[in-house]
Amino acid sequence: MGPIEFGDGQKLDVGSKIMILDSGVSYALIPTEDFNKLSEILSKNYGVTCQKGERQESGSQVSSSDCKCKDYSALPSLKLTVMANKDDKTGKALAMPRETYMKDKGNGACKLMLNPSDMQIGAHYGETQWVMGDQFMQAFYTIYDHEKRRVGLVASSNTFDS
Amino acid sequence: MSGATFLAVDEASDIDKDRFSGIVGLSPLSDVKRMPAFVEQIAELGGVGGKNFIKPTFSIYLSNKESEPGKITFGGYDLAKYAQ
Repeated sequence: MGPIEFGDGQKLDVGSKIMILDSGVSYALIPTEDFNKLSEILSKNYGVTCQKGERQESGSQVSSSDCKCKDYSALPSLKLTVMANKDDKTGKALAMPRETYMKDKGNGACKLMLNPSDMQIGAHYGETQWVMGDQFMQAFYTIYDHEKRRVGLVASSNTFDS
Repeated sequence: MSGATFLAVDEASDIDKDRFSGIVGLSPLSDVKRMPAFVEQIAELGGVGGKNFIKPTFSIYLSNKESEPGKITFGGYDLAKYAQ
């Protein structure tokens, strides 16, 4: 994974290098450090206030963050750069609509669909990762190609406001 | 698809509340030699198109509307239908 760019051009350098797709989780699980940096930008530039993420020692039990959004429709899409592998320096930019990271609950209430989690798994023990769940997979059609050992991500035919 | 190998389970616990009646593992390679993974099997058996017609590939489309179901395509993908 490469940096994440906000609509206003602000860049967030993501500490994690690995992205995992998991259709078994509704919301994404991201490292606490990235979660806090991202929340800070949303708070400073977009008037979103959320509970601060707490470090999770283990397990996947996390509570999602209730937030207040000053103007939900002003939230930007996030441009996320993903690399095919360690040798890929350019990568591909994916525009994540606001619906992939924030849910509008009406009356200024909203819910962050990214949860802090520092769990470590199997082959990548010792490294942090972004686990993308259904919130992400609704925006991206995913193709799993065993023959060529690759995963394809392409903007889904679903429509989004942002 | 005929000639596929699968595992029959006659007792299961804690899944009675779920609205499914089976589990399909989508791991690309089986670690049990005499039991090839489903993804290996669809490629080898070929399904309706005959042997080697279907690729060991699958793709997932998740709908964002309650009224519309998601789709899994085994053996390939359909960009015209599910991508922009």
